[in-house]
Amino acid sequence: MTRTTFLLLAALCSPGVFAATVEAFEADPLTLLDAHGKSQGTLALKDAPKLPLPVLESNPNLELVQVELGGRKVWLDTMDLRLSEGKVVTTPCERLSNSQKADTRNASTIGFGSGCNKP
Amino acid sequence: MIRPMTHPRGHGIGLVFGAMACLLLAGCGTLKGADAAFMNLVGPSTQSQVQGRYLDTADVRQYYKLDPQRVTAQRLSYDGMAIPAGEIRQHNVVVIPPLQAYLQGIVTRLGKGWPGELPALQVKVIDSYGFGPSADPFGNLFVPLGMLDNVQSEDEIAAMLGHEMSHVLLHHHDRRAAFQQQNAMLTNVATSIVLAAKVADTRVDHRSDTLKFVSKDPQRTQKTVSNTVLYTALMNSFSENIWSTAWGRTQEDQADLLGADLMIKAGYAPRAASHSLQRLSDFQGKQQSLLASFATARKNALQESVQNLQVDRLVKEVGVTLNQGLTTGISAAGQYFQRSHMSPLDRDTELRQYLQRQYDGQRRARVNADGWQQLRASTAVAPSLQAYKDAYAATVALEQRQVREARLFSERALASPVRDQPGIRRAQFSVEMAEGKRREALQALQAIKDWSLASPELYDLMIAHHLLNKDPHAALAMIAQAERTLGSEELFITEKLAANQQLKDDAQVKELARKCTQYPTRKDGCKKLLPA
Repeated sequence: MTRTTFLLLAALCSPGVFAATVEAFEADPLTLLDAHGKSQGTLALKDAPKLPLPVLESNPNLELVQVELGGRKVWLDTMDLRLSEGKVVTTPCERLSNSQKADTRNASTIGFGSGCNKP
Repeated sequence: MIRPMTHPRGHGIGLVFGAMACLLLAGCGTLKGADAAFMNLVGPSTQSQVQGRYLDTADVRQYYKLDPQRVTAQRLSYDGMAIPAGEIRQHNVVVIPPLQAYLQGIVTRLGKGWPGELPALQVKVIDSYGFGPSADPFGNLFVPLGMLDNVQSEDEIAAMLGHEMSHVLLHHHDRRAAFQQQNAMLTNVATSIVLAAKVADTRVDHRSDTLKFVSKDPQRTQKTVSNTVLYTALMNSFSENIWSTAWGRTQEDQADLLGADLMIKAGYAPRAASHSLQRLSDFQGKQQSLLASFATARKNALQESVQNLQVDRLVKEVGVTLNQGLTTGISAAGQYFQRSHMSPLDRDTELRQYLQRQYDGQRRARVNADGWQQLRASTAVAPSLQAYKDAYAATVALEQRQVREARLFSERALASPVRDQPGIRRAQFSVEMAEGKRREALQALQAIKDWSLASPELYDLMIAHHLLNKDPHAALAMIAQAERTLGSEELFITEKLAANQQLKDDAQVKELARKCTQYPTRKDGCKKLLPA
């Protein structure tokens, strides 16, 4: 393995690299946090920068992302944000009749949501 | 204030139907919550209208006390129940005892947060790779394997089960009954109006020798009849397509709110509710926001029509809205009124705002993924879950005509502790059939140990096999088991008739033929079996 390939792989596998962006703010005011999730102050939504905002780093365990606000790097709780990459369902479904809309298959049940539309 | 609808050509009938609608909205017990559906249709979101914590509101408090009649209706088994064929469970039930106990434990923990009397609630894992759980009015909470395959924490499971429990706690299943009742009532009223108009318009002609009835004003009577038919159709169509689905969406919003309250009271992290809604959004694909610009443009006109209860105008406005949506190429236009759930991301946003308002201290709590990950990976659970995934993979392989791969997956599933459960044997049956091994396919079904777990489809296969082999006793035994398990006589009544014909039991055939006429979807099938 060449040095370049190794560095490329290492960069891709690094937990700090995060290609997502912040698509929307879901709280007002935003709570600014440190890397451990401790509050460092707040920011009113009217003073927030334009979206989308690149995510610089993420901490999946604490569900925090780091962004730059007004030239300052801060951490935000994902509960306050809509990210471009949310939680996903990995199971494909379109080929299976089992995943049709519950509403149409069984009239007596009320489901959590309607049927699968994944590619 | 709601005013009766008016119509220049049918003022009287309009008044009657307007009064009917007001009555339905205001008085009828089974229609509780219908008025809130109007607000879902044209007003602010359900979540934003809630003052305080939803669990403590008067809307929810009315459900704290269990109706004694409802307690007896809370049946955990379908035994003995006359459930219509279209309403019974469709999937095989999965039994993995430690998993079952774990999920039931979550429901128990959530139930402790309910301040009222708790109905019986029972979790059933089902062999489906859909994502969303569901609940029936008997307190069964159906958890699909596809959900368990994707959620990452107990908190997330609690969010989804809390939502389903909420449907049961808030009596949401009554909506269907309410609409059936309303359709019947409107039809009856319409019939009465038509009859009354005819009677009022008729006089007896004494001039001839024979008694003769003559219409005094045939044109006017015809107009009354036409308007009555029109209003009935409009009201019922409005109810089915707009009101009922809007009401359904309101119920989903209410279940989101109560589910969040219950999970927080039980000590779970509410952010998990957001996780599950994000997954649901991914599962369903992106949907346009319900209040997209085209809908907003029509909102005021619709709102005015709804407030004045001018049904004819409302239907016209709906038509304009749909046409505008279609002509401007917005494919979501038709879905605006017919979607049973809000977009998951809209629900997520509304829920987060509710959490910020009511639970600012708790909303940042962290999920604990450890417990669920450990159970899922344990030797008591993992091999069984894997077996079902293998059976699923076998079915997928068959659909891609990869019979060899399907055989390998099926054999792996058959080496598991759940080898004799219906879902695993169903996959084996398909593989054997794909290889042309009919006898082995039958043996696969005969290896099922507990038929109380089986889906209607599996019963159907076995009953058809026995009838083809002229073994009516075996067919009747299987039908009896299906009736006990699924609680529906309707489902296999045609097959029961055929089996009794094979036995030449004329008395039973006659009795079943009589019963069969009570089931609209079955009577033609029964008729075909009977001699002319």
